[in-house]
Amino acid sequence: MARTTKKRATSKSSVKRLLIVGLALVVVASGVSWALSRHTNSNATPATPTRKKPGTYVNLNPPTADEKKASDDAKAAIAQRESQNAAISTSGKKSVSPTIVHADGSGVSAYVGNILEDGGTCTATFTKDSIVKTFTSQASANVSYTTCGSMPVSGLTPGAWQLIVSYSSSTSAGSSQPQTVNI
Amino acid sequence: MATFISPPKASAAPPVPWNAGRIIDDSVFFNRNTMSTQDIQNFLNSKVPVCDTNHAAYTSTSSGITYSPPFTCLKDYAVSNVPSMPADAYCGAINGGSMSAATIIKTVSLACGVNPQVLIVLLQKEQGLITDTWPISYQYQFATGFCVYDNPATEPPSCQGTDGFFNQVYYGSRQFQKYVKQPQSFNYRAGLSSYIPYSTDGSCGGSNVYIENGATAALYNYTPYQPTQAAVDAGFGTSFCGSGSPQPQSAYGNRNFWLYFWNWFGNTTGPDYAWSINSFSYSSTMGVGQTQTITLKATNTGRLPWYNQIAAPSTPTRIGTWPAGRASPFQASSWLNSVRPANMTENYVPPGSDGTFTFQITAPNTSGTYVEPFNLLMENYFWLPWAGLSPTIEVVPAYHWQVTNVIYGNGTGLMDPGTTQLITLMALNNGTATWSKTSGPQIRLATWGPDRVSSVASSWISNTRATTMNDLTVAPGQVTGFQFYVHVPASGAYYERMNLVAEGQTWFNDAGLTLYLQGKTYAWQPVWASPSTGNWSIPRNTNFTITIRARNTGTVTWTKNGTYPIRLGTWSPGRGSALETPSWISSIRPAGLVEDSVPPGGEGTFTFQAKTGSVPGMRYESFNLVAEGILWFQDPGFAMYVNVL
Repeated sequence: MARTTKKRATSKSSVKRLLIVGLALVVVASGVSWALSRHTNSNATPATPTRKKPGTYVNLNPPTADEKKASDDAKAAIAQRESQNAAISTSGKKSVSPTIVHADGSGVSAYVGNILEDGGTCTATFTKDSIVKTFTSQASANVSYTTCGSMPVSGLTPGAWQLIVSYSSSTSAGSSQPQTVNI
Repeated sequence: MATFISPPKASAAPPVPWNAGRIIDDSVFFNRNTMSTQDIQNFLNSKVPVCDTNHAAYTSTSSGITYSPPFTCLKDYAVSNVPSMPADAYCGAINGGSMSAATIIKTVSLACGVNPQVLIVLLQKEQGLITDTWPISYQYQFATGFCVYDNPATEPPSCQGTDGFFNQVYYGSRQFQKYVKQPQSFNYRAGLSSYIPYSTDGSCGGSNVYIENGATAALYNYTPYQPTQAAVDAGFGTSFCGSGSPQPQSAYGNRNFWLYFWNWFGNTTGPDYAWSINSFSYSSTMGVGQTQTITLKATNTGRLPWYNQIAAPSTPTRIGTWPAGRASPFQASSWLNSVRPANMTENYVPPGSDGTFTFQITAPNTSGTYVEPFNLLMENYFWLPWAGLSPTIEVVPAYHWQVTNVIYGNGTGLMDPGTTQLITLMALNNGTATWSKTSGPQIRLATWGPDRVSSVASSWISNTRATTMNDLTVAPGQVTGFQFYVHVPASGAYYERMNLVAEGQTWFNDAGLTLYLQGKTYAWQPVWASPSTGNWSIPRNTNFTITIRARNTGTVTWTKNGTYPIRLGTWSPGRGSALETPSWISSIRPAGLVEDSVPPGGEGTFTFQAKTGSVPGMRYESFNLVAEGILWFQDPGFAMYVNVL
């Protein structure tokens, strides 16, 4: 802005030039003072959302009440977790119920929520009439739960099979709800 | 992204409905280039305008653990001992050291190929760290919720060493890559319909969801729950489901991920088709008519896969000239047609992977600078947004040269008429073709303009071709020599223009080679001539002496005993003289130069014995100077009349 003004001034009178240079100095000085005040007090001026380049967007507004509440919720969740832990440590083997995510003639994908551990065993049991076929996998910890991964399955004849996934480890055991898998 | 959607007001609902099968696109999730470290820092600053460093101590009512001030907000948080991480199948190497939280987010984002915005949202969704004004140490210890354990005794072996802020960001990001690259070890994958519960409480049930892409599958593998529709409708609010006391709540993790991303960074989905240049290798200089093979590696940054002509015969992915339909002067015989250089090599390229386009281009016959934009398209269907592929190609003559030196055997081009000297020309191949002495077009030094017969040729290949080059082959950038003899037949200037020629194919550029040859000038002017007898009437059978003074009016210093001694000779050449005496050098050379040397402008002396014969009468005696062995001087018309008495 100051640069454009200055450019124009070159063709005008020297008095006008002085005035404009003075004005430019005021603009620069207030800019510096604004920057300094921002530096010393980051709460002074609310930032506005900025568009970096077409198609990208970063919201630099202060957090909303909803967003700030998440921080309180996190602390509450920590407290809740600590209390649950205290309860678990006094009980015996934990009862779990695996979740079947996907099942077909080539594999069974399942996980065990609410526990985080390595070394347990997942067993997929298919039953049709008097035929029972089982497939197992080694379970492992994944972020916040225990996954059975995808258990490869083979040799199931066409028809409706009943599937139950069970889990067993030194700390926990349990089975899923039965589910019908049509092969 | 195809469209920019205006930023929502604070906590407003995203302008698109929740889609459980497509929470976020791969092109957004795995885009590591959305924010710089400073952008991240600015963002963290904006979300904690004032850090409540000295907030009152906090005691967990359940565990009794007390967390005391000072508290450090994420924008001010730093890790002094970030470990160095080796590269593995999921993340690139990281050089450790002291890093701010923003630097850690950026560094891990780059190393593991995850959008830093995704990591920011992950930190908020898991621990509320982005907005927290007095975060406690536990929130940093499990910042991304990765392998949260409460009792070291029950920590799974695979979780060891994953706590702490850096480790949480690193292992969380790395886990996303594991989900994509090792899907059989996990539960959710793209392209399958899978059951996703609504809550950790089984009584809430769940539904089968067709998961459309790897990024959404990764989110479900990280947090294996989806929100109920009521939870989606509640925005950031709570929503109950199932049965029990207290009544369980819907899981919010993936809903909140989606809400935070929309609120803070906008659209979670990208265009169906988009691309960026991963690598493009080509030679920016070509000889006219030359062909080169170039390879484009194009990253699929859209959400849909690409197929080639084998997998999708009616809409194959191709590279085309851009703008659409532009005829290219670089069309090669391998092109599909004048506007389609090539098909894609791979049958199938999923989002995030590279498609390969290999094709030839043939330079036009007119040299110059060309800009050649290309773009990708699905034939018969859709042009992708142009990714800026626009190579600049300099087309130069294949045979192009420059003089680097001319060495005259004599030191200069000044030569005695009739002599030869060796010329060595040093020439730089600054074209694109390799010169050959024997095969293909032979490279020779020739007279210029074309086929001008030279007047200085000496032992040349022909009177228009001086010589061939010294080396068998001369690659572009190399220098070779051409050596040949020139012969200056007479006095005067011989400016010899020369050029290289690829025999039978083309002349080179005129590099301006001129040999400045100068035949030396031998000239004299008689000053005076006098007989020892005092006058030219001399009795019969008299011995006497004749002295001739001659001015050197040429350009060469006369020498008495040089390579070419200057002598007085009878004229016309070979004429016998009636004045000959035995003192003469020979019957046709009365005398040599008396002085050792006579420079141009000086005077020289020739003195010789003469004898009148026995027959009286007038004798006409003409003489000229000779540079012995090479030439006669220009004839000044010098003569003496001796009257024999």
